[in-house]
Amino acid sequence: MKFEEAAKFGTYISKSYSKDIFRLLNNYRDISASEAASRLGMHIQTVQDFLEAMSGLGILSKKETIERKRPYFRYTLITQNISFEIDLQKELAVSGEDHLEQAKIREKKNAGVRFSLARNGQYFSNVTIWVGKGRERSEKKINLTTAQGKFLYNLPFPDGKHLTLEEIRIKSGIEPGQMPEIKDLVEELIQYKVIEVLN
Amino acid sequence: MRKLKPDRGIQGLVPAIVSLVLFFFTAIVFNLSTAFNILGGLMIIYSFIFGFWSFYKSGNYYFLISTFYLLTFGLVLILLDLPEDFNGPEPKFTDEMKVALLFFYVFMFWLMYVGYQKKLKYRGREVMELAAWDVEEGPDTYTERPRPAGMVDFGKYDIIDFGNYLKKILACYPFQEENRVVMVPIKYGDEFELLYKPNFNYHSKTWIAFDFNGQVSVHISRKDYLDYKDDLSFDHLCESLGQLMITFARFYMRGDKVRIIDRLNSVKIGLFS
Repeated sequence: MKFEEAAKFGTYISKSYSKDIFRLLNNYRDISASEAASRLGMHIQTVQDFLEAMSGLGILSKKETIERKRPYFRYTLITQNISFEIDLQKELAVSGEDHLEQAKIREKKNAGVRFSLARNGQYFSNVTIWVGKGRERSEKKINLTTAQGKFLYNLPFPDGKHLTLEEIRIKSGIEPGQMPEIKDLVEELIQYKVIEVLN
Repeated sequence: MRKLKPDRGIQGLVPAIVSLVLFFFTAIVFNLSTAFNILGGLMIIYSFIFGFWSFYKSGNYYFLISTFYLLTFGLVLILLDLPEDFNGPEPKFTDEMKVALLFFYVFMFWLMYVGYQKKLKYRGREVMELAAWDVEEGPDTYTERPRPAGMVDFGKYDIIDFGNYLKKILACYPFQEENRVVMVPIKYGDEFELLYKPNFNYHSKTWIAFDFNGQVSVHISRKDYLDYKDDLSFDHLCESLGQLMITFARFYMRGDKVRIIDRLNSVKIGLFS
C-alpha cells in the first residue's frame, strides 16, 4: 500500500462508525449510501464519503444503478482480508532526495546563518537561521546529529569549490548509512537558502 | 603589497598618556618633586602590570628586560633629588642614585636593542599579512564557521610544544582544550584584552586549531576579515592561514624554528603595529 493510500485508509478506519459500516457491507450483498445511513442513523454524506474512500482503495466495488430518474451507486465488499503494509524505505526514498545524489553544493553567500561548535570543536552542534522579514523575523534553531554536524563542518565555503554530497561525506568521515539524515538536513537548508545547489 | 589596513590604534600609548597627564596634574597641584615621585611609583606599578604579567602569561623572557627597565626608571624618578634652585650648582648624585642610573641605562639600551629585533612585538599582523599574501579578492564570501584546513601527523605533546613556542615568540597565544590546541594570533594592541580581560572569549577571535588526531581547522573573525583593505576570497584566505600554520609546525618539528621568525620578519611592519 502506498503511503498516501495508507494515510487515507487509516483516517477512515479509525472512525467510530467504520466497524458498523463494514458489518453492514459484510451482511448485505450490496448496499447504497442512503440505505446504510438510514440503517445506522448517520448523515448520508458521511457514509457516502466512507464508501467512496473504501471504493477508491479497492476494498469495495461500486456499481451504478438507475432507479426512477436518479442514478446512484451500490457498494459491495470484495475482500474479507485487508492487509495494511507500507514499505517505508521505498516510499521515502522517492520523496525528492534523488536529485541530490549528483548535485554539487556549497554554502550560499550571505546566508546569515550562525553555526555553533560542539564542545570538542570538531563539528557543529546546531545551526541558527533567521526566518522571515522585518518584524516577522524569527530565529529557527536546528539541533544537529553528530553526522550532520560533521557534514556541515566540511561543507564548502561560499567561494569554495562545489562538492557532491558523497565527496563531502568522505571528507567528513561519515558512514554511508547516515546519508538519509544528511539529505534531510541538506533539503531543509536548501529551502532556507543556506546551501546553494549546482545541478 | 600590504593587504591589511594600516594600524592607527593608540591603545599602546594609553599608559604613557595617562602617566603624563597625572604627572602634569600633580606638578601643578602639588610640586615637581611630588610629580616625579608619583611618576616613579607609576613606573614601578607598570613594571609589574605590563612587564612581569606579560612575561608570566607569555613565557617570553625579554619581557623581564622591560620589567627591570621600568623598575629602575621608577627608582631613578623616586630617588631623583630635585634642586630647589635650578640655576645653582649641579647637584651631586648619591651612590644609590648612581647604581640605579647605571642599571637604568643598561636596561634601557638592552630594551631598545631587543625592541629593534622585534622580540617584544606581538606578531599577529605578520601572521594575517602572510596568510593573505597571494589571496585574491572575493566579495560576499565571509562566513563565520570554521574551515578544515588540512591534516598533520604530529603527536599531542608536539602540538602543545609548538603552541608554547608560538606563545613565546608572540606569534599566537595557545589555549589547550580537551582534544586540541587553539592558537590565537594576537595583533599589537589586542594583547590588552588577552592579558587583562577575565574570561577572554578566544572562540570568537581568529584561531587555528590543531586537534590531537591531526586535523587542522581555521576560523577568521569578522573583525579580522574587515581589517583587510579588500574583501578577500574567504575560502582561500582560511586555507592559506591553515597552510601557513602547518608550515610553521613543520619548521618547528624539524628544528628550524628560526625559519618561522624569518617568515614573520619577511613582512616589513613597523615596531608599533
